[in-house]
Amino acid sequence: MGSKTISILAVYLISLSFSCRVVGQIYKTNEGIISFYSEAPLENIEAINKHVGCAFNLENGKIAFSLYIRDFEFEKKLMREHFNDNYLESSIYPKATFVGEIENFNQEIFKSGQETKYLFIGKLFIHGIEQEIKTEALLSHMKGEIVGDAHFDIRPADYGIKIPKAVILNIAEVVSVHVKVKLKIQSE
Amino acid sequence: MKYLNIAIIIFCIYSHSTAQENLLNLIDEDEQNFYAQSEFKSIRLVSGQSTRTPYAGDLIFLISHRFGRLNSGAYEFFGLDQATIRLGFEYSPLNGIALGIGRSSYNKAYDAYFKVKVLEQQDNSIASLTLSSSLAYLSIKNNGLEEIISSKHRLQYATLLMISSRINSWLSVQLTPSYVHKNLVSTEKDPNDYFLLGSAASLKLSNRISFNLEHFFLINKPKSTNLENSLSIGFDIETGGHVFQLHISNSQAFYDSGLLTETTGRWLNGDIHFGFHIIRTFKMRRTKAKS
Repeated sequence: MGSKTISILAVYLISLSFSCRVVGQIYKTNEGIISFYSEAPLENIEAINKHVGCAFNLENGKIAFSLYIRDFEFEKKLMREHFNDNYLESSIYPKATFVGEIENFNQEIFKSGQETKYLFIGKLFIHGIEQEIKTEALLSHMKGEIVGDAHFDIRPADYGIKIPKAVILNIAEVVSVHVKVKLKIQSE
Repeated sequence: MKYLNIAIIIFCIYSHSTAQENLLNLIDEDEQNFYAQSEFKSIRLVSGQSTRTPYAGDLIFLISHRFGRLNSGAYEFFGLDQATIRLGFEYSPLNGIALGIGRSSYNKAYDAYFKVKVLEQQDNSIASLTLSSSLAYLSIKNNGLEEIISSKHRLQYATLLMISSRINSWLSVQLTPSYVHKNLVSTEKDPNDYFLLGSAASLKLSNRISFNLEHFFLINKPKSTNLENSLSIGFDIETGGHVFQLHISNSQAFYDSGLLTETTGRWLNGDIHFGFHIIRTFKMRRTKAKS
């Protein structure tokens, strides 16, 4: 190969290395909390997952969440069994993820330190199906920590979760989700 | 040369698009709570017990129905006119322990048992192991024999060692070596002690439906009696808090000692009975504090 080719190759490879790396300030946690609540005439269902992984890039406002369906804890173990085996089919779809970003992100506003509302948009992946969702979240940034709190509703039907007629009075059509995370800055 | 450039450009574009996914990859998380699908949908396999015990604090109400023989003809509506029923409860005070009581119309038998789950496949064991010990008291009045029979003669005991394993996502199997002792048997030639090997399989047809087979092989089958091995075939249908189990069997009793050693029906003769279980779980107390 000629020297021209080598220099082109070098430029490509260097730019390649830049695009592969995630540039910026990363805030992470492995102990995020996500809980959901379904209110129906015959029964209220509540579950909590205390091992949610979350990564947030302060440089570009991008965020990612990942959790294992099996880490949801229920008061009734039988409910956990039905949730995993019949509804979410966690042996086939073990994880649920969210990948998104803050709309019109401006890093300067973010450093204000106050609790501020931001609009997140992104793709929520549950039970093998991806849906675009938008939600507001309260974020506050203090001393190398970012605390986030969000509430939003989802419809199990949108994610292919079938609810048989026999239990239609036990499981709501709309489930409310609560996300609470405390992210700590990652040293490179 | 041109192709090399194109290949590199495509590679650059590809790696740009994965930059967002790299954020997801930064989350290095392991599953915290181990969970494996249970081998069976309920505490009963077909007619007999499965290794499953209720969850701690759960009370299970069990209605078991067995009709008459299919070959009893249209007049008896193929056995549907004659029915025997067992009503029972099973309660778990602690994880892995179950206490059960019940009463059957067949022989007007009262039965009580306790079950201990020694090993659970869900805890990363190769198999589940459950021990069950039961007692049955047959309170039926035997015409004319009241003077000879005392209460102790009405007792029967059964001990089951159940070993089960989920083989893959659609198949579970169970082996049940069993021992039955009857204080009173029909004739002098009949043994009081019986040894059996039960074997069963459960095939998952869908999330809520499974097809099950259960057989008890009587090892020391006495030549003097017309005892047959118990063979039951059934379907489980699960809906919310109930499990419905429909089955056909050549056995009539539901209490362990009767199921294992009092089967006289022959499948090929049509001496088979249609029946069902309705199993309902009630939660008696909280097992985990709300967060």
